[in-house]
Order: sequence, then structure tokens, then C-alpha cells
Amino acid sequence: MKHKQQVIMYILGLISLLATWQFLASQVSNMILASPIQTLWKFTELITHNTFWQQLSVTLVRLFYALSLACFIGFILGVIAGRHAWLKFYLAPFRWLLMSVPPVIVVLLAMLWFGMGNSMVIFITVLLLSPTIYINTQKAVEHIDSHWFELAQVYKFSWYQRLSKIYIPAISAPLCATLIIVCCNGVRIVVLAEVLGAHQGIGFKLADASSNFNTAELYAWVIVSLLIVAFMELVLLRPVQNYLLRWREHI
Amino acid sequence: MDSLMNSPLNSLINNPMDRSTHTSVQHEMPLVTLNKVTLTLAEQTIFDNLSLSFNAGDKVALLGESGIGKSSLLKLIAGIYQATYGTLHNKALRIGYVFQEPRLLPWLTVEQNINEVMKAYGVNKAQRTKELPVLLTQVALNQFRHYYPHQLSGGMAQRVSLARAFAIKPDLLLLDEPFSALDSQLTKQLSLLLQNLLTPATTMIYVSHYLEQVLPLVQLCLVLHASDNTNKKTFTCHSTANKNEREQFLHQFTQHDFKNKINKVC
Repeated sequence: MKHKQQVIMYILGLISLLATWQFLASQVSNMILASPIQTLWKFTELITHNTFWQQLSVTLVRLFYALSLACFIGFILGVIAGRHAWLKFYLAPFRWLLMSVPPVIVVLLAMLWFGMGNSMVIFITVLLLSPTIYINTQKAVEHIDSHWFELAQVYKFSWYQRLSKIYIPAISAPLCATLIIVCCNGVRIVVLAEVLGAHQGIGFKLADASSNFNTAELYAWVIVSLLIVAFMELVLLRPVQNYLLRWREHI
Repeated sequence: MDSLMNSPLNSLINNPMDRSTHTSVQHEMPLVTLNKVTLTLAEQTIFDNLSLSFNAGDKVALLGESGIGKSSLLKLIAGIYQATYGTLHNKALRIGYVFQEPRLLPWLTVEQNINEVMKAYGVNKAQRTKELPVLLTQVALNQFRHYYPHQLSGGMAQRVSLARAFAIKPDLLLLDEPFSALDSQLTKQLSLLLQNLLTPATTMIYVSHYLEQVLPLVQLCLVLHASDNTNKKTFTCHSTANKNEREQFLHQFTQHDFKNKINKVC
């Protein structure tokens, strides 16, 4: 598919989405569903407000710490478990537990343990995301061709060379896909945790708008969280992906 | 066969620690010694009680029918496999290994593939910048240094693999049928290149099915045999240092019963 066609299809999809939204909004009350215009109007009002950037930064800082920690833990454990089966089996019950338990239960328990605020939000995001990174890294490492490890062994590669020149490039394609999933889920979980147990952040403002029946503001905050995901995917992850997979461009 | 059995390396096969009988010209101590080594992989015994040694500077061809364990022996010497029983001493500090396939990291360019190996051996940046273009020119790939492996032909990729092995100035060079996937013309060219890059001090163990290309490069040929009912592997050793000996060896090959097995893959 040509680039021009891709852009046209993308724009058509977006227009259809907005048209459906507008149609549904015209059918029901403003209290239930705000129209795209109302939402956009509220959104511009929000971003010109002082507290908006403060609330946004609170959520972004939480997201940054939670994603960094989850990626670090999941990646390191995934690489080791991919090479040493004993760790894979040892961690299997933990992974199963964390991937099966509904996030809302973890939020409720974390609120009991940590109270409301930063620690709780970061804790549950790390707890729920690291198994996804772990399992994808572990599976990808398990499938790296043993030829590369023989090469690294014969030519005495350092651990840093093994990591940067074998592990990361060899698993970069599945790893990039995982990072996109984890970033999207990260925003969802942070916002969910903030809705349920925080005094600041996007989630808190969402809960606030909801309890005040301020539907337009609620939708405006949803737009903010969508923009965070888009920003992370296009501005942060896309360049990383292009860099890691640059050698494939020539194929 | 009797005269061949008295060749220098053979005395070491039977009695690896006996230096008095070893008349090889180069150095005093063996570089690689296998003492009663048993290798078991996936519950299958590849070698049983194998003793063998190689001196510094030896250029040896390792022959034998397919699947007999030639590659396993190279991997054992390189440290990729560990001996199940017995001891293996390898005093080589820098091992160059040319695999059957080029085995270049696909996400690194030609230059980076060689550079990483030099880095691993602690060659500093100034030296790397100085030596890399010289090495790449030797293998006629200097203008392709920014290419990725998938942009190279099979012959070019194997030349990079050779250059990578020589980039660390190896004291032990292990070649595992390096040109088997290439046509005979390319194999000839690469054998010549290998001949030019080799130094007298480098110990070389060369596994190949292309006898005619290997013989000019080696002084000794080790032929690996499997006994019919056990896993016990035995060697016969043949000196091929001069033309007469080489011809005699080829003649022996055509006479001896293991010739048929080898010839199938030649």
C-alpha cells in the first residue's frame, strides 16, 4: 500500500469515528454523551488553565517511574529466564497470578497497603505490567539462534556486548511491539488507579468530572489520555523502533 | 599405512604427553592438548577417551566422513562444548573461528562485525581505526564496509568472516568447512586468500571436504575413523608437508577403504 493511500485511509477512519460520535451525541442528552465540538471546546479551555499542566505532570511522572521500573524488572528477568529455564519455572506461578488477577483487585489491595497517592499508583502499574514485558522478553530470548551465543563465546564478547549486540537487536522486533502494548496499558492502569485512589492526576480529574456530571470535561480528559498514548508511541517509541530495526530498511 | 603411522603428530595421539617423540619444527609446548577426553551430547557419546595434541604453528587438516564429529572436535577445542570426562588444555589466547556459514550479526555492518570482535579482545580504538581498512582491503571489501550482511553475496560474507577471524591475530585458527556452500571457483579464490593471511606462527585446524584446496595449506592430515561397534574414534595421521607426501596421501586415499567414505563428499 502506498504512503498516500495509507494517509487517506487513516483520515477516512478518523472522520468516520468523529461522525459516529457526532451522530450518537445528537441522539442522546449532553449529560450522557458530549459532542466532539463541546469536548474540543472544553479541551482548549482545560489546557489554558494553570492546574491542567500540574495534573498532567503528576500523571506523567507516575507513568514514567512505573514504566521504567516495569521495563527494567521485566526485561532483566526475561533475559535471564530466557537463558536459564530454572528461573522460568520458578517465576511461572508469580507470572500466572499477576496476569490473571483483575487489576481492580490489585488496586483495592494496594490502597490498603500503601494508602492513596504516588506509591500505590506506581506499585500496581509495575506489578501489572512487568509480567507482560517479562513473558515477551523471555519467549523472544528463548528463540534467539544459539549460533549467536557460540559466536559470542568464541570471540569472548563482554556481557555488555552480548546485551547490546546480541540480545537487544535479536529481540528488538517483538520487544518494540511489547513496548507499544505496555505503554498503552500503562496509561490505562495509571488512570484507573488514579480514579480509584489518588488526590491528583488525570484519573482524579476524571473521577471529579464524573461525580459533577461534567460530561464535556470528562471527555476532554479522555482526549488528554489518548494524546499521551499517541505522544509516547509516535515521539518516543517510533524513533527507538526505527533505530533498532534500521538494518532491515535495506531488505 | 605403517610409514604414515610413524608421523610426528601420531605419536602424540597415542601418547600426548610424550614430547621427546615430537619432531614438529615450530615450538616446544603443545598449544592444545586433549587428554582422555570423552564428549557426550544429548546422551550420545561423540568421543570416548580421546587423546590428542596440537603444537603451536601446526597446520592440520581434519578429515573424516560426515557426522563423525569433526565439527564437535573444533567446538570442543574452542570451548563451546565442555568435555564430559578428561581434560582439555588450550593455551591459545586468541581463537579465530570461521564457521560453515558466515555467521555475521545481521544488524551490524561489515565494519561493525569485525570491530566488535576486536573490541572484545581489547584492541584500542586508534589501533582498530588503523588496522580495519588494511584488513578490509586485504579481503577486497573496503568499499563495502558500510554494507549489512544481507547486502553481500555468499563469497563476500565468507570473506568478512575470514577477515573477522584474522582481525584478532589468532594464535589458533579453527575452520569448519568454511567454503562448503560456495562454488569451486569461489572456494579457490578464498583458499588463496586464506593462504595469504596465514602466518607461520598461527596454528590452524581445518575441517574441509575439498581435499585439493586444503592440502597445499597443511602439513598434516588427521583422518577420523569410527570403529564399527563402539563409539571409539581413532585417528590416522599423515604428513603432507611436501608435494611427494601429498601425492602419496592422495594415493593412499584412493587405495584405502576410507577413501570411499570421504570421496562421497569430496
